[in-house]
Amino acid sequence: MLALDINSLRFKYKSWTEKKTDNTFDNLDLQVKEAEKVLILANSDEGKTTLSRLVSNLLTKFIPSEIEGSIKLFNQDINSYEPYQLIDKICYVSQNPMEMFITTTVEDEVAFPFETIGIERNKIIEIVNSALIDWGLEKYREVSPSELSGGERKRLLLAISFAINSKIIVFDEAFDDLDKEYRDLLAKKIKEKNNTFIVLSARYLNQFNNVFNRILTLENGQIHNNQDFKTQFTHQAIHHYLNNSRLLKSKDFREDNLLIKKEKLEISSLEIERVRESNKSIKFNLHCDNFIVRTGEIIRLVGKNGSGKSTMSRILCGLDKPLTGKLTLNDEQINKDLLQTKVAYLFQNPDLQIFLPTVYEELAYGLENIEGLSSKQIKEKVQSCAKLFNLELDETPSTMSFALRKFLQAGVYYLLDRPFIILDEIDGAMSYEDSYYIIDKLSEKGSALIIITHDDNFAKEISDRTYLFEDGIVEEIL
Amino acid sequence: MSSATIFFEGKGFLYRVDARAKVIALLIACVFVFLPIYFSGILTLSILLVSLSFYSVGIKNTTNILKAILPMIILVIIFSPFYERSGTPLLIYKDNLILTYEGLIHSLTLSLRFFSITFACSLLFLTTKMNAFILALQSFFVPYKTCLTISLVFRTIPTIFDAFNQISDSHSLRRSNQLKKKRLKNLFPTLTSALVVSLKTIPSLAMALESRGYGLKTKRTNYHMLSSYKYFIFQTIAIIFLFMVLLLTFKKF
Repeated sequence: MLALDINSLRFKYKSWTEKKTDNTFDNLDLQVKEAEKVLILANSDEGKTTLSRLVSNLLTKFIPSEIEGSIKLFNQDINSYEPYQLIDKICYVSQNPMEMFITTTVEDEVAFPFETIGIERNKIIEIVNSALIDWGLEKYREVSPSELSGGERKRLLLAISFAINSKIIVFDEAFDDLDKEYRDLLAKKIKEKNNTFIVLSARYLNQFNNVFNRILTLENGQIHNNQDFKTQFTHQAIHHYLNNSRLLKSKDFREDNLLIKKEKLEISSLEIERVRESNKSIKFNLHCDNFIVRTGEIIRLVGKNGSGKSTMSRILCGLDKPLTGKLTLNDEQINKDLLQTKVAYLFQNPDLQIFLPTVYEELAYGLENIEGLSSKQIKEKVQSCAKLFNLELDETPSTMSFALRKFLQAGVYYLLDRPFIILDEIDGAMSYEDSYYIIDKLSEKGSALIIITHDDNFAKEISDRTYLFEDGIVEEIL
Repeated sequence: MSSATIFFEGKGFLYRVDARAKVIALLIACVFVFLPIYFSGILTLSILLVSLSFYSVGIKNTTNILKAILPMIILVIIFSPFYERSGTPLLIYKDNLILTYEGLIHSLTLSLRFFSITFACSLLFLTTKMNAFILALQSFFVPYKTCLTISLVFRTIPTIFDAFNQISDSHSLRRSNQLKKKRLKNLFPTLTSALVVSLKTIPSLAMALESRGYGLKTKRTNYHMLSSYKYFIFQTIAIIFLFMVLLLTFKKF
């Protein structure tokens, strides 16, 4: 029996401005058998999230759109159900966990669907306990989801989806934000369980090996049985691209060809303490004896979820203060305000960094604060940057695809010529090629890049040094 | 990582009071400040609340609540005396009556009413877990839909506040090293972007609710349970007794 049967699907979003929009899907067909495990690879902006939400019947009811064709779940047309009636049939795991949270504590989040279905209390307690233990969240049970790290949030969403145990589970970039341990766990669960799994991803990760019955691609609005997917979606595929960039050149080459002033940022004897306000018993401490970064360098920060990579990044760019420690720029102590003008930080979520009505205004905003730049010079700089990052100047950022919003976020800091740039999970929900493109362009002038990632392969060849965050200690891996 | 949350974990006195008793106390406090009592009655209640707050949630959290309420109190104190023109003059400038004794008392009463209600609400949510609050409302026969709406508001407010802070951080990171922070200039784009981020959560929240089965006609069960009625009844009697004493001491009638 077919678990999912999509025939001749045409879909497009209605524009808020009544502008004519293109079809996201054009005659898309997809059949998935019961208990089948299917991986769908697609570049950014091909409609992974749209497809996930459509098959879960969560889109057309809430977002203005036009749809033709049929979507059937177990031979029943999806339109004959309200979304809430599909809880036992299909479960959608969003790329962005925060948009899916309803309650104020981790345990309540897991319990919510079972309270709704009317499961008796003792059984809910059992389910909640087991889900939290499975995904390493038991100590956070009374913590607010908004106080979790990105990876912990993703694990919570996965814990809920496996606890609900719908017949079909749709994962939209579910491996992102997870560290290796939990990526392996997720892959193992997909492989072992009898549910039907549909996993959508922009990259082919090592964990995908031997997990799926079929690997498909989503390109130009249609599903393809593309056996040649490795040339496009694996890490190896971008080597030809890297060979032409300055990224693979030696550190000495990069340091000798700086287009900006040579600078050195150093942290010594750093102590960080973080308390979760909703549960003070869970304290987090981080210690770093020495951390140095110089312009021209590319550094990787690796560590498990919640190991303090983002927390330390916020201190590096002057957004937070450490408990103790010394921060110096070119051997002179530096204050928080000056740090903010030296270190750029590309947040994981680009929506928290882009806020103006057009791409032009967004790119020009930072430049307008620089004394001595005429409007003509600003315009020229913005135009060339937009060209570099494939951006249209009159586009509305909030309606652009995730990848383009990431490009815009990068463009903003490219123009500001910051000597140090932190890229927090730049590979999240992005194809290898797009992620490397951003890194390549940001390194052009010689800014030091500090790359936070959970992908073993990502940025390994291009980084000069790696710092490991483990058991509350930051150390360079030699 | 965000630190956005309304409930703050603690072990103080108020954390041990039953959520139902706290809701009743809040309602009685709201009624009490509008009863015909002397100004000193509302002042006593305010002092009691602040003392309770120091004892239960500590100096830092109490100061935070006070800081949040203060701007509104200042506005009330500055502007409300002008509306009370009759009574004993206190301040006259070039033959114009500026302030009367009655106007001053009226202004202080209004401020303390606002202060007491806001402070009591803040204390309730700071010391009560959302699930306990929702169960308390449900035990007073408030429909689940209403309880869920309240819960969603309290789940969303800290998230929007957090988004505002992150957006504000992002503005700081775009500053030029030649310029000092322009807080007011930055406020408008920060608020606009926080609003955009918030608006985007509306369809997502609806999707989240329905994908978790919200809308099904089945009878809902509860993961949490409130403690036995014994403590609730005892605490409620104590609260009613306290307010009765306050009322009898400060009544005008």
